[in-house]
Amino acid sequence: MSLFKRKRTYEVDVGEAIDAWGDTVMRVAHRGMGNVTDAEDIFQTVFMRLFKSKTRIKDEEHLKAWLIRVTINCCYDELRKRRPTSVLHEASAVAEDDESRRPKSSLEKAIDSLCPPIRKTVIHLYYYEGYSTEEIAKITGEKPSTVRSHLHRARNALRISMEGAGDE
Amino acid sequence: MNEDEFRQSYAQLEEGIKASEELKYRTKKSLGRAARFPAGKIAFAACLAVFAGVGLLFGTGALEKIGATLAGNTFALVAYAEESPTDGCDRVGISFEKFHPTRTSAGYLYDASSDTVDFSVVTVSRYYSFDMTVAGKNVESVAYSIEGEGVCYGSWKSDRGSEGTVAQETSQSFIVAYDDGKQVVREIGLNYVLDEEEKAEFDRLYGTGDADGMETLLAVCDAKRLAGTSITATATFADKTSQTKSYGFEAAEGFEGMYRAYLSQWATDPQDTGSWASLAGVPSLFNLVEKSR
Repeated sequence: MSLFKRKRTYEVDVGEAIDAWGDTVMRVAHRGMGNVTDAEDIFQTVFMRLFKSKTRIKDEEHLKAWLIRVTINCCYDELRKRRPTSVLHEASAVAEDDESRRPKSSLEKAIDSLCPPIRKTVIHLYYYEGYSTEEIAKITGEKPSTVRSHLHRARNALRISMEGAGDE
Repeated sequence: MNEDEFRQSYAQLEEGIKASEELKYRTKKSLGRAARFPAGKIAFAACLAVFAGVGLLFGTGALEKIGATLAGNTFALVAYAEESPTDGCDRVGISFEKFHPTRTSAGYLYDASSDTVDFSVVTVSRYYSFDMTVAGKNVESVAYSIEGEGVCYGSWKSDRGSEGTVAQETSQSFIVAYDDGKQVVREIGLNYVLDEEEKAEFDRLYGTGDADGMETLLAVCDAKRLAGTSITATATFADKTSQTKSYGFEAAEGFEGMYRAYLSQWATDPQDTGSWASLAGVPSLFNLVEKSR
């Protein structure tokens, strides 16, 4: 079923958007925040924004890109907000998600440690969502050359060999 | 590794990350609530947060029924009145969906200035969502206040009424104009430090990583603090007279066991929306007690 019930006004059914793109938003939020609990908070904020947004959505691809962009921005907002005013030390706070019991793989740790955080996002959008660097640039608001630079440095950090690499 | 190997490994990693059905369900529910009144940011720190109930009251027409039975200058807290206490009882059960933690945090005291953690002190901050709407006749406004150690009212609201900056509001009291059908939902905030015995149990559970045990311990600690908490509603009527009613919370018999059972059920089958929906039938974990009539 289409998410767009009334195409002329581009009205999005948020409930159906949650079903269609919820996992996508969750993955981007999880990559950005590094844990499930915070990713779930971001998830709710993103769909609340969609619910209240007056943005005109053209089609489902536009909606997906919009959701990813807002998710990335919400993650950055949250991370920025935390820096000066953290009340409880994150390591000492009670972890309430199952993830705290699950050891992270070395690959996941390596990705988590990428800095600045945009590189984690670029890696995710490029390798998992299959976006080109030009498309990632549109979503993140960066220049394509900057995105390519982030991708290059992230690959180096993760020791990804470009042997037999594709289009970049 | 080469690029294809990385792509494959990364895909496997990401396939394990999904939005749970429970998360989707409560997000949709919260959107339903937002359509009725501005909620701003709705934060759910606790894995057990349920946003199912506050709207049900109005869907059933309970407010109108209660209002119709009242005569003259009078009012009642809907959450109390709709349960119709019988045989002179001054307490009614409030179901979990109507009174539950919405935001929680607990941990060893962190001193940001020295970037050190004091493992001898555990601070707890937990907020319970509660619908304090009243129904009455000739009511013009209602003033709410809260008493108890470390308690306050809290709510999240957007200062622009839409996406954007979100501010946390806490207070000991507030006044609202009476408006038939308009919900008055606030969080009841509990901020406290664990006593010696509680902390010993916290330390033990922290070491074992027993998340359900930890949540149950904190819920029991909350119940002790809530027992000393009073919420007071003072209605001012059209003729400028007023009436005050005060309410408290009391943990139901078997509270700890019921809470643990609830968490176990939840953990066993977290994605079963059917069992989620059936939670309307769970026993009340708290009683709402009218302290003065």
